[in-house]
Amino acid sequence: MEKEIENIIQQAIGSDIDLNEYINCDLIEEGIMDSLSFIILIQNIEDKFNIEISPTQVPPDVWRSVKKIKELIYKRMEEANEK
Amino acid sequence: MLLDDILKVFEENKNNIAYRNEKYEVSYSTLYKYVCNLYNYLNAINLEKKIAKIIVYGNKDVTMITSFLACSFAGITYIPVDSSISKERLNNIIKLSNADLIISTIDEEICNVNNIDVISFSVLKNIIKKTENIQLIPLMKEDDVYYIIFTSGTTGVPKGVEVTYKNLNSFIYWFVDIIKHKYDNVLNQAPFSFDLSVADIYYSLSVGSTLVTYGSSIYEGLYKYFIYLKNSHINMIVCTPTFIELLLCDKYFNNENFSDLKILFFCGEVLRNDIVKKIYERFRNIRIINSYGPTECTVAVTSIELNKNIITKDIPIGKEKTNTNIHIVDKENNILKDGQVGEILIVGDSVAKDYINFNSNNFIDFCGRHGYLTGDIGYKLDNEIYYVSRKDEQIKYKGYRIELKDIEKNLYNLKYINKAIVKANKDKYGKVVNINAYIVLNDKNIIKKDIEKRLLDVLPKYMIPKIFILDEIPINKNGKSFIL
Repeated sequence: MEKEIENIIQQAIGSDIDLNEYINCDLIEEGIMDSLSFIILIQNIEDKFNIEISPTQVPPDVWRSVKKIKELIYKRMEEANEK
Repeated sequence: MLLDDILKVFEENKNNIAYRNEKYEVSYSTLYKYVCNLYNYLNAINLEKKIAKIIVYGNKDVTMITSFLACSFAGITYIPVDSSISKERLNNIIKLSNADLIISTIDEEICNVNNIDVISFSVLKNIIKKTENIQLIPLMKEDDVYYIIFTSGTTGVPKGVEVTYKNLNSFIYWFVDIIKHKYDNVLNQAPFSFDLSVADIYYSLSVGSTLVTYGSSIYEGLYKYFIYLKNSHINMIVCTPTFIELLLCDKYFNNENFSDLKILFFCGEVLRNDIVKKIYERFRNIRIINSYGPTECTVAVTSIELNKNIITKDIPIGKEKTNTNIHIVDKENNILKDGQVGEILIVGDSVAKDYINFNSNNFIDFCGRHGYLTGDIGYKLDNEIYYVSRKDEQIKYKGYRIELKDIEKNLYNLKYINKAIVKANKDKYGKVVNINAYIVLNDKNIIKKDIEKRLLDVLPKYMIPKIFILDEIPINKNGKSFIL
């Protein structure tokens, strides 16, 4: 599961890039998270895990960090399972 | 002409809002005062020293619109440059355009190597606030260059497209005509240095609507942005398909929350039918217009109003605009039959004058009329025009037009680069998802970050590729480099 989530984030911010390089970086500040990355990320999360994310309902800081994006996906998946 | 119409709008809409952003709004009467003051100031310096071209630098502030109009009324060409651009690229544009003056609309010092005169933001603010009684008289003539927009060039040097007052008139009258109604709140998406913004800026000004802009980055708070759009009662959006895809990512972008939204105008990228389908699912009665046009032909030259029957097919770019003809031609510029695929040639009133700094074979004389060979491949069928692809390595990425050769040339300008190949990585729809640069170095001590940093000095951020450092570029049997 961890690997799949990482793959999705990787695809969104540019393929073939080692995520560890981005662990401590601010994705928005560095210009990595932009319109296209955003679209790919949200669409992939919905397609692969069948969970819905409305970006406006997510604290904006989440999109700055790889760690927080991971946490968000886990949290939403748990919520979906409970239902 | 357009400027006469704008004068009328100023007269008839004094109390209406002309411009709004997330921080403030400006009425038509205030904007009028701003424009008059700057116009007066420019005319005064024009008497001492002839001013032909002015760079207007900034990020969507109302003083940018003020400067555009003041220049236009004073008969001076303006060159919009977005402040997201690197310093070196700005200096490049200063040199290439041979501009006489820069108006800065942001609080930031401009270091320009050419030492041309600058009206700083603080000086500008003092100029526009005066309360003298001035009359605006349009001095711009039909064949004068109204604006110059710089776009990516294959040689690694940006190309400046000269659009005349006549070009702009022809576009805006047609545009107002296809939009049909007056929509009060018009959302601008594109930076003012991108010619798509010409559509929303001059539509609003010529019908008396409010231009709604947003200067901050929307990723820093999408919720804030949605609330802003909602409170601005957006009726019309002029944007690229990528932008709508971004809004559609959120299920709250729907008819319930955005009940004032009535029309979407698309240009700048291929509009896919899955996007259109999604829009109709969320907004049942919305009008959708697709269009097509290169900067060299003044924003857009075709249009089609979609309906729900179109979404199962490839979406056409539509029919040609008034006073402009589109031909599909072969290599000898012979007109091809319906259904045959060839290069899209645009002829007529929309075709810009020329490039300011570049000799091109693409501007041609076609049977006594001014024409432009677009480099786009397409065909005509049942009176509609369809776009197929590019014939060269120009791509659309995040809505921006980019020459891959432009990136390659700038990489080769770095001494430690031995070989560089730049490729666009596309998804199953053919949409570019990222740009990759494969590089062989002369100096093994150089790392990716060094290259990225140097590129950022000369290229806009959206043109920075993902960098892959290789020991050598793989070669295939035919001796061609073999990547992906």
